[in-house]
Amino acid sequence: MDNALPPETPPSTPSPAPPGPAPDRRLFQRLTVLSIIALFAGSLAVAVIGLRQKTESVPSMDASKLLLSRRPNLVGVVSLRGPIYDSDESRMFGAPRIEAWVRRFKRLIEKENVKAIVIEINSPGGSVGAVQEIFSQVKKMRSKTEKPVIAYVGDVAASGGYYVASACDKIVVHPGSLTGSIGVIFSVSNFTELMKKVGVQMTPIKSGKHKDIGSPTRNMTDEERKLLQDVIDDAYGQFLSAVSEGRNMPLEQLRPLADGRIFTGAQARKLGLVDVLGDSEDALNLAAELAGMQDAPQAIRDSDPWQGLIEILGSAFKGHSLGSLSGLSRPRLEYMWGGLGGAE
Amino acid sequence: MNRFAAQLDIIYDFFASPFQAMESVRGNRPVLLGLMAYLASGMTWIIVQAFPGTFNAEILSWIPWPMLLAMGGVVAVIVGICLTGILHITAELFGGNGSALGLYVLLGLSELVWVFYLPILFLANFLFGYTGVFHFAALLVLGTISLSLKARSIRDNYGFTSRRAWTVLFLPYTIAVLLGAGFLAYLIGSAVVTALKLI
Repeated sequence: MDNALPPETPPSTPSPAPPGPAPDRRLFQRLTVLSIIALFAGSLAVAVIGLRQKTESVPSMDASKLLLSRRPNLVGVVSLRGPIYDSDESRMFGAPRIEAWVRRFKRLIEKENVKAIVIEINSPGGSVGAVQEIFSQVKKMRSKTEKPVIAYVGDVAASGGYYVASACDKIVVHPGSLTGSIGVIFSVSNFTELMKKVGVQMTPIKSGKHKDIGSPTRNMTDEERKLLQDVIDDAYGQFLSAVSEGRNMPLEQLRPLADGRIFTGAQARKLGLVDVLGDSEDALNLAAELAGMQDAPQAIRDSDPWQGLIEILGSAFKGHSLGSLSGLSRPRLEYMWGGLGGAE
Repeated sequence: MNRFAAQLDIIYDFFASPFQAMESVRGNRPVLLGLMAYLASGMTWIIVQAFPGTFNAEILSWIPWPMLLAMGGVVAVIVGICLTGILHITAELFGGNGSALGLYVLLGLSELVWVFYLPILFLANFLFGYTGVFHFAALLVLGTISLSLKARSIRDNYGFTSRRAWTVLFLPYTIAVLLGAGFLAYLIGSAVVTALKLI
């Protein structure tokens, strides 16, 4: 590394500075520095103008409109992976997962040079609220921007994953992808025997007789079972309506398929639950075709490469109790397929 | 001599004739020039984040970009002050004798190489339609030049040998990296222990 530096000079023993360069040479040197400053200022100005134009629609820092100006026809790709929950696990360093996903999706679809979107789904579903949030945002942005949105299923888009896919214009799956599992689940644990063994007794003081419905510390009554069944039936009805509307499929045709069973991509195609058997490239091409793009589509991915690390760090900081991880003490309404160990 | 012209001379000399630049910095203490250099590099770093392929500043996206730009400049100035302080103390521990203010200016001038970052990326985008590889290449080349200039600044400011200047420069970085690695190892370890407890 020593050789990387110019010859050493003894600063602590000042010696007379060498005579400066000739005036002509100095003028040239100053003009050189001025040119570099002008180049920098020009670049900064161009970037700032680009940012200002973009921020009219998206109030966050994003110069991609400016920087991608040579690529006017893009297909945005955004991934939706894993169980869909509106968890707080990443809140320590940023927005919760669903909020961050919706923001990324919106940012991508609102880009002027992005003509269509492909959502890569690989999810067994998730909580009803989180799934419906994504479903609703996808539908809203579709109608607002009038840009086609394609769902591409990798391994699995079951239950809530399929719910989200049904919000898209078309669904592309591999023949062996797993999909379907249309239904709702609400799992309630029962610890009564265990609590008897360890000598623990819970005494809830409640304002109404159903305030502790779903409590794991006692057996469920028939009345409670009926109430919960009504809740599940209602959420199930919402699922059916969403799929029926999204897929343009009559409820009578859909209902027999919606008993929670899963389908391969090929089976789902025959039944009309998906549109195309293909791969990620086919999904891109379909998106480009629906957007009326003439040239071969170029994909732009708006992912957050730090999100994984943030989630790991967040979970390490936060710590977990056995209950919070296993979900045993936290019953919730889910559009979730349990075949991948997803349902708790 | 015109004051503005003198500043231009210092910038030119810093790259082409370091001994002359050193004399000017000793004589004039051009702190304002140093500050401007830090501001320029800080703003460049913020703007660069808007290019595709860089860290997606999700956490910062709620901040309006002009404020983000200003923050970038201010952070660069503050980081410069902290780095100068750390390097000055390290240099004195190694027996060096020099001006902290002079070092602050020289380190700021070392940051000036980043003014080429934006033009390179714009050029890459204009010529090739994307900036990915050029991002990395520019980061590597400009970063190396900047580090080299910092080492030279330490050497000239404290009268060190080149080897000692590099040591003074890298020692705080090494300590910071080791501390960071230790912290990360702690986080990963605690996550693994938590997972093992649950199995």
